Amino acid sequence: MNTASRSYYKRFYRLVAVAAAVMTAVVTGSLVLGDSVRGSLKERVNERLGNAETLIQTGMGFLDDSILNDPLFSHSKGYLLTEGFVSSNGQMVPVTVWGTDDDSLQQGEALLNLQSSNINSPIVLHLPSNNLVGSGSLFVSQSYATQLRLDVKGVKSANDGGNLLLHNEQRRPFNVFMNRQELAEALGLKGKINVILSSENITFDEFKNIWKPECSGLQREVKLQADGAASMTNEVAKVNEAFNIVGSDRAFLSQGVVDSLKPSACYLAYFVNSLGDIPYSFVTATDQLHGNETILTDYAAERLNAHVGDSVVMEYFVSHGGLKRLETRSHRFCVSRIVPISEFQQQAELITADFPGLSGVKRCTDWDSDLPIDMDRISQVDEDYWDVYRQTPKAMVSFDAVGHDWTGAYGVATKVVSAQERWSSLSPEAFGIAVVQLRETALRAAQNGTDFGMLFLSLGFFIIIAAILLMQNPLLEMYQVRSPEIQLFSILGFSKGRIFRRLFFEALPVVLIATPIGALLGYAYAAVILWLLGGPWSGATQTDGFALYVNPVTVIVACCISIFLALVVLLFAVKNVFRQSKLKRSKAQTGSLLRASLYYYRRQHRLSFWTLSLGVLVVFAVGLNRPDFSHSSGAATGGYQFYGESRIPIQYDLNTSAGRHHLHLDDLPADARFLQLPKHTEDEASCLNLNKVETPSVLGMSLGDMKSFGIDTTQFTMISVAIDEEALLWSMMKEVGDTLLFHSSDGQEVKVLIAASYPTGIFHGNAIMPIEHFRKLWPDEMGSRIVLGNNSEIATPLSDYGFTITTTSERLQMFFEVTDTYLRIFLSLGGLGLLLGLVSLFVVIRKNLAARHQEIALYQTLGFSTETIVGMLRREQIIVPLLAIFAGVLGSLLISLLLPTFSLLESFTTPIILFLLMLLTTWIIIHISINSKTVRQ
Amino acid sequence: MFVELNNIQKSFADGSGGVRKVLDGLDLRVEQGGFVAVTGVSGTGKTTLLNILGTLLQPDGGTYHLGGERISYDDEKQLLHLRNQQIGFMFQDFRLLPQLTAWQNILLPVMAANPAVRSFDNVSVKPWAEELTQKMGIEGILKQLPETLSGGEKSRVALCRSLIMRPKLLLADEPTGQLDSHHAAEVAQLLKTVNEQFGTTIVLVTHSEELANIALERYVLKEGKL
Repeated sequence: MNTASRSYYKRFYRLVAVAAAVMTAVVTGSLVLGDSVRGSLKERVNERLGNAETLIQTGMGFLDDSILNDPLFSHSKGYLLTEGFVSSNGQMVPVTVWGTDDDSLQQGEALLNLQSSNINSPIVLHLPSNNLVGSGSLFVSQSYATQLRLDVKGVKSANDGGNLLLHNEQRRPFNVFMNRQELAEALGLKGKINVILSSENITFDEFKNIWKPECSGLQREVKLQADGAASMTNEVAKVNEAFNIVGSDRAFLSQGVVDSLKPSACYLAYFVNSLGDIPYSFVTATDQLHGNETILTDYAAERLNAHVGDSVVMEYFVSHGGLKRLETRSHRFCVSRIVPISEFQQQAELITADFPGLSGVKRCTDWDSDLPIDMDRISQVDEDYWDVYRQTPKAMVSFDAVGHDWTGAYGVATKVVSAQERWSSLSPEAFGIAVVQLRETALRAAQNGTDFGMLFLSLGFFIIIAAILLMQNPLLEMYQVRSPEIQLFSILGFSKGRIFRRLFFEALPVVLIATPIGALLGYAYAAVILWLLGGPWSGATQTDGFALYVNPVTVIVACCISIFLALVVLLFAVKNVFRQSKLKRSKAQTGSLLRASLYYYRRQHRLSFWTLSLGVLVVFAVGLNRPDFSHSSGAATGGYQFYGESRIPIQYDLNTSAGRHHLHLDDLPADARFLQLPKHTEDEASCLNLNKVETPSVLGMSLGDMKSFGIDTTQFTMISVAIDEEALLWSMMKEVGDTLLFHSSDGQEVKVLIAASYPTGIFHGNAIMPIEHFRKLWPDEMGSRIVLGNNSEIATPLSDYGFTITTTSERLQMFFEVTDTYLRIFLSLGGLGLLLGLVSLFVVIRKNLAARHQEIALYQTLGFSTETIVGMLRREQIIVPLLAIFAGVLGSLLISLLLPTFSLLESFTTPIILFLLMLLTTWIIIHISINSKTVRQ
Repeated sequence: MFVELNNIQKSFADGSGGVRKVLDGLDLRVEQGGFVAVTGVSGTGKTTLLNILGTLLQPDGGTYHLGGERISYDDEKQLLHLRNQQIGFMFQDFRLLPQLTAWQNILLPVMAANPAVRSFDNVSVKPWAEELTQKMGIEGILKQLPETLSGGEKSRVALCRSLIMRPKLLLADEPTGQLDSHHAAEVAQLLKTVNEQFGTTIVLVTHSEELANIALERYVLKEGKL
């Protein structure tokens, strides 16, 4: 009997099947989409990591490449990794430079990945003038960058590891691969690597077992108590065993290393501007002297005509705030001893240090330093001293007196004396070395990234609602038509339960057959959306090449969800059969036929009205409030018009004439002001990254500046960050009060509190940390990689330093293009849902006409012309959708007017087009469904 | 003659590719003020005959004169006007619109005559309508919706509607088919009154012998002919 009924009422069941299929298609499609994006991100992980499982990175330091000879690294490759930029078509393109031993790359050759392949050969690669001592130190070469001219040998394909990228991002990097030895030589880092990638899982303990301090450039000289070195210090002299003099090939020893060594004596060599009348001298501070004590060499004492008990004034440069804001300071010392210079010479390994550009030169006038050395002050006497004694200090001073000025990001000592057994207590963490289970971390980030399944389920919400209505309408209509049949069953003694079951199981196979068809349609839906996400909608993902991944479990789950929804609709419709009999009778209406008809069919009209008006309300409210950020200001931009970012930090203060002079920006207007920020690079947490981000990049900023970006700074008591609202919600999936785990420069794990969120603006995707906290965690992140300003003249000169300069509104536009694309997707799918709703309206009208065929026949019999009947019916049927559209638009306007971001003129174009389109569609639907032909039928 | 059908032919497709002749050379003449009952077994074409008389169907052959004028099926507007002004219809199921009150149902043909009038409140035939409803004895139920009316009341409302335009010809298709014998007798009496008092020509088709007996003339429709 069920089959016969299904066949007889097939015109209703056909629609039910279509609706169930559409619903399944959207649900399945959305979930398959989620799988596909996840699958694609995982695929991208494989592409960017190749077979690498473990990453060993050295932070700001380096490892000696001899470590690769250890059997632990038999399946590993060492790289010298640096950031750089390449000029292409008049623009500086930031690139990641991989110094590698692979690919038989000879000197002067480079391989590019596909992303960079449009850069013409030969390329001129600009690299930071890095070398072992970071460019943030005061004692480095003046030259800012090194340039290399390389012939492009070819393209390194993705399969070949061309898209190697260590950050958890799906966007493909711009990579340049070159000969490691050549890169090392250019950077003054011969024999050094800073990245090891292993295809095996290596634990930190395994690495620690084979690591030696020498691998990280630490040098020691074993001395016996009898050796002369001890005579300089009282403390060492008491040691009755062998001891180490420890230094580093990076000139400075960090606080972490010094703490581990627990030294008995510390020495910090410094280059001072003057010692009394003697210009530019090396002086060493030590904790073995106290107060204002100084020991002069007899050479210095003679030149200064100084005696024990005399005072000597020393001037020196200091730098503050992570930038080379040089300031001259002076200190008056009291001569406690005068020793023969030969004594200092004997202690050279302890009290001297090699500074690049200062130490190895032939004459004083050859000094290549970032310090403003006035060569006119250097006399022949100074040259003569240099000829004989080189960087032997002319004096030693108390560390207490100058320590706070001389110590800095790169270290607190140049040499220390420590007990031998302390050597083995050194650990890789103190050098900022981290062992990362790279693939595991990357796959976790991909797995937990933006859930496109849920996202598209919400975006496709209207289609699902429309499909539910499309399903519900024919069911209700059918049961209305069949009410005599249902009454008959009741009269024949069928219980309500039996009638209910009969109707339910009659409809069930239709749903069950439609669902797998819908699942197939969902597959197509997902494929189309993926294509759109890689093409017209790529603004949302900034990514192409999404592939379709179908997980059978997902499809089954989607089918189950759809069947469940369909069954709920079915149950509601069947239950409604029994409810109908309890309905109150209609009230008589006075006035027109139109009014009477509208009232009589009010249930159908009410359903259409609310569905359509709510749909229009939401879609239009979203449409009207699509943000236009081209004129944003205030907290989003901090009031700045230009945003510059470089992978290579600049070390100078653009707000000082000295800093501008260093960067050849003397022509900038004197009153031009800039905000410079340091950046600790971790994962990109902006909406451009689809992976889940656990540690975002961090910017250091003063509390005062933070306020101008709308950040509430009252909660910054412990080490804390503020993160913008969008990044916090979407990329990190965290909230204020949560903590993040960072590694400080000395390898410590530091819990950082998310103390505040701030309105998304130009720093979207970055955590902002008070500068004091930033310096504490990453003292070696010197210079500023971000520059904000209001002066357009800065754009060209800064781009020469690898800065990409955009206007802040362009930057906002770039971020909000993502939001905007999602809104467009929502509007497109919402619009599709509305169209489906209108199709459902078409169905409702046709059913209404079919149900009223006797009424129409009566009109004809009574002498109503076909035109009059068509007009009457059209008026009746169009009034509800029109009212719904107007009510929805009006409601959305009212909501929008209450929102502060709403700007009527800017937001109006798209909604007006949509509004007119809806009116036109409604008009067309009414005219197609009600015309002389359909009325005559 | 007021109604004159000559040699009317009408066939329909029989659903299996063939053709079924329903009326085959039917002739009918009814004088002005006549009252004709047509009987016959089911499926002989009684309703088809009534639809042809009501100009709702065009015969395949033959001619139809009403009031001395030959009906032309070429002009749709003229047919509508004729149907509205000169012909009243009464159906077995009464065909009252469920959304309209009894009063509004009665006034519906007036709205058809004046498409510009959209509100029942503006209809200008009220005195006649009131007289008619008084005669039918339904003035107390005029504000009610059809779903609240009894069969007899519905039939009287339907009769009022068919007479509201003072038609010269009233066509009734089984007007007592859904009524009990008491109400059927009432309707029969009303039809007779209408015929006698208003001079309305009536053609009715029915299975009911009682109803047929009140007509002045009786015909049996058989094999497409009377």
